[in-house]
Parts: sequence; C-alpha cells; structure tokens
Amino acid sequence: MSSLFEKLGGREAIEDVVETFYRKVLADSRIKHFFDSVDMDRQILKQKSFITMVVGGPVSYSGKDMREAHKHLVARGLNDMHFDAVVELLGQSLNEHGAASEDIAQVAAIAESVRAEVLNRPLPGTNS
Amino acid sequence: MNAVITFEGKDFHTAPGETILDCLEREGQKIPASCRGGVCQSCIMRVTQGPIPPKSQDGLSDALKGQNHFLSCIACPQESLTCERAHVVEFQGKVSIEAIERLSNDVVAVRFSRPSGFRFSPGQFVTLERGDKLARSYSIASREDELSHIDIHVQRVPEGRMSTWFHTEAKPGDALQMEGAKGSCIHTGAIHEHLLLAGTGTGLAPLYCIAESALRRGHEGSITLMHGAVSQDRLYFTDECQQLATKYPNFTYEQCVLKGEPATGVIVGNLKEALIAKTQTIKSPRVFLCGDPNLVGEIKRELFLSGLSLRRIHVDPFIGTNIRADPIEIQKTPVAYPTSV
Repeated sequence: MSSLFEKLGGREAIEDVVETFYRKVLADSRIKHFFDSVDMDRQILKQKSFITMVVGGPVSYSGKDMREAHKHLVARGLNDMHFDAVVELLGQSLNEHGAASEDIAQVAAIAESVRAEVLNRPLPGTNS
Repeated sequence: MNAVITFEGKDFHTAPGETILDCLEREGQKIPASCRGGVCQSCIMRVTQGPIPPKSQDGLSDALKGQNHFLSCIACPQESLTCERAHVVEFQGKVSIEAIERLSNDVVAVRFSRPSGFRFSPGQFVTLERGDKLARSYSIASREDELSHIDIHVQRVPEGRMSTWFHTEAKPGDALQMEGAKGSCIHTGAIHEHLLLAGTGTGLAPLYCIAESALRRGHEGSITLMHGAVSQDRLYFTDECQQLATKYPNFTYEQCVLKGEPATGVIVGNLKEALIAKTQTIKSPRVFLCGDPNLVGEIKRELFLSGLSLRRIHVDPFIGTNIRADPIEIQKTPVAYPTSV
C-alpha cells in the first residue's frame, strides 16, 4: 500500500501542501504567534519536516526529538487547543491538495500519536 | 567498486547503498543532522570535486543547487567525490582599496583589486574585516565578469564605525581581509521569467547587479527595478539605472519616494504598497528584495500570504548596520562578527 506521501506526489507536491498550511497558520489568530518567526524559510523547513512525517514520508523523528523541539513553545503556553488547531489546518490543507478523507484521518491519527511528546507530557500508560 | 568520499583531507569508503552522512558518522565524523529524510537541511554539505550524488539536491533552492550543495542524509554516491561542510567559505584573503568614489551625499563606491580565483554570483556579498577585527558585510556592486576589480557601495550609517571609516579615513592602498562570496539572493531562474527587484538604500547594489547580469546574458522576460527612498535626492546610481533602461527595452527602472511629485518613472508612495500592486499585474513573478530588514521581511510575508510561493521570493535583509547573515551561516557558524556599530 502506498503512503499518502507517495499518493500526494512525493517531495515536490509536499512543498505546495506546506505553503498552503503555512499561509493558514499565519492567518490563524489561535496559533500564529507560535509560528511568526522572522526567518520564514527556517520556519517552513520545520513544517515541511513535520508534514513529511505525518503523511508517512521518509523522515524519522523520535519522541524525544519532538519533546525537545517543542519545549520552548510549551513554556510559552502551547496546549491542546493549539495542537488541535494545527491538526485542523493541516486537514484543510491536505483536503485542498486532493487528499481523501480517510487519508486525512490517518494523518490526524499519526499527529495524535505524538501529542503527549509535543506538549511535553508523560506518555499515556507511564508513571513518570 | 564503492565510492570514496574525501572529506577534510581523509578518504572514507562508502558501503553499497550507504548515505554520505551514515558513512561519515560511522567513521566518527560529527555532522549536524536531524530528520535524516532530506527535508530539514541540517546535514547540508557541498561538493567541491566530482559528481553530485543523484537526487541529493531535492528540495534545495536553485541558489544552493548552483553552489553544489547537497543533503548528505539522502546522498548515495555512485562515484567518488570530495565534499566539505556547507559553511566553508570559498575565498579568504587580503584585498586592497584601489579607489573611493562618492556616489551621493551618503554613499561611496569602494573599489578593491579582485583576487584571482575569487568567484561570485550577482547578488552575493562579502565580509570585510579591518586590521582591528571590525567586520562588516557588503554586497558586491560590480559585474561578475569584471576580473580586475570588485566594487561595493557603502552608505554612511550614523555612529557606524566601518561606514564612517570608509567615508572619511580609508584611502587607496589600505588592505582588508575579505571572506566570501556569501548569500543566496541570486537569480538562477529561466530567461523568460518576469523579475521584480525592490529595495532601499544600498540594497540597490545587489539588485542592479542581478538585473544587469540577467539582461547582459539575454534575459527575455520583463525586469522591473524599484528603488525606494524618502525623497528623490536620497536616491543614487540613478544615471546607471536609467542607462540600463535605455539599453534594454524589457528593463524598467522606477523610483519610489515618500515625498515628491509623481512623474514618469517616479511613484510617490510606500515601496511595499507599490511593489505589491506591481506584483498583482504580473503573472508568477520572481521577486528579489534587498535592504532594510523590516521592510524586506514585511514585503516577503505579504507576498507569501497573497499567494506567491516562497520559492519565488529571494531576499537579502541588511541586518544591523551592514551585517548580513546567511541562513546557513546562522545555523552552522558561531557568531564571528561584532554586532555593535
């Protein structure tokens, strides 16, 4: 079975999804302050890595990476509401680029699997 | 026969199907890396000799591709090559001042002897360091095919130590240490594209060079250069820009001033609004922005939000006084330049 990454058209197609997503993020008053960095090119590379991962593309981040990468944002108040907004905008962006709803649901599930790490919470089922 | 990677003077033998990143790490070399899937660009390197491994430039900007950069995490070399860390600058050495010419009340052109072996693309900049280690970056303002000298334009910045020195004390024969060329605000697109170039102050220098070089090499699409200032008397290099417009019918030079009378080639208003209005009249333009960092950032953001791809927006924000930072430099090298003026 081919991944959504392949179905969408691989690396080049992902760039268009990333730009659509980034435009939505910068226009969204719930979350834009987390993304409004001076260096738009760095910012878009981070988002490209994230989107490539959640559509099943060839990047590998460990839970530890996700935790480290978002710690400074959690300190600035990153919470479930923001996480949900990102997943919502991502779904809209994929939809606009022709992804099927079952694929978008799959992407949301992959995103969900890193929620605890992104928000720097203990993993479900652990006691630490 | 597996490919041999020459890196920092040593040879490393790749295993079949192994990436350059994996091979170098296996041998104990420390290369910054993160996603390992060819996306985040942390592991970017540069080929100095030999073929670029297939598909290892996917997703890189044309500027980085043109400078032989590649992503080591997705580079499976089929042939031997030599590569280096991406931040290694191509040239470091002494240059001496040949002449200083006043271009306007607050801008001088400084001409240096061009060292043999120094190469650059129009739009790039160099870092110049004085004997006392004071260093600043300046865009190159002369032609890439002019082998005898390179020029820079220096705007006098109030309290600016380096710019004041160039304006008041520097003289022919004075030597500086030069490093470069740096920067990715260069034009590598197709000859039929429509180019829009806009900037303030000495942001004109790289923009003029990009336009002049493209025209000289037979660019067929339209090229519009917009130079913004408070008033017309603050603009400079106007004769040169007008001469370019006379020579090439597909080139337009527009002055954009906050105060003054509208006229042919003179827009009265804010550069950001004038440029965005212009963008909307052109089908998929390629945009170059240089100069004041706040203005460059604002225009870039607005163009992106209006639907232009970031891949078609090239910028060189003149950070601080004349200190510029390349994205790769920020990522890879410790701060090497004094930040005070």
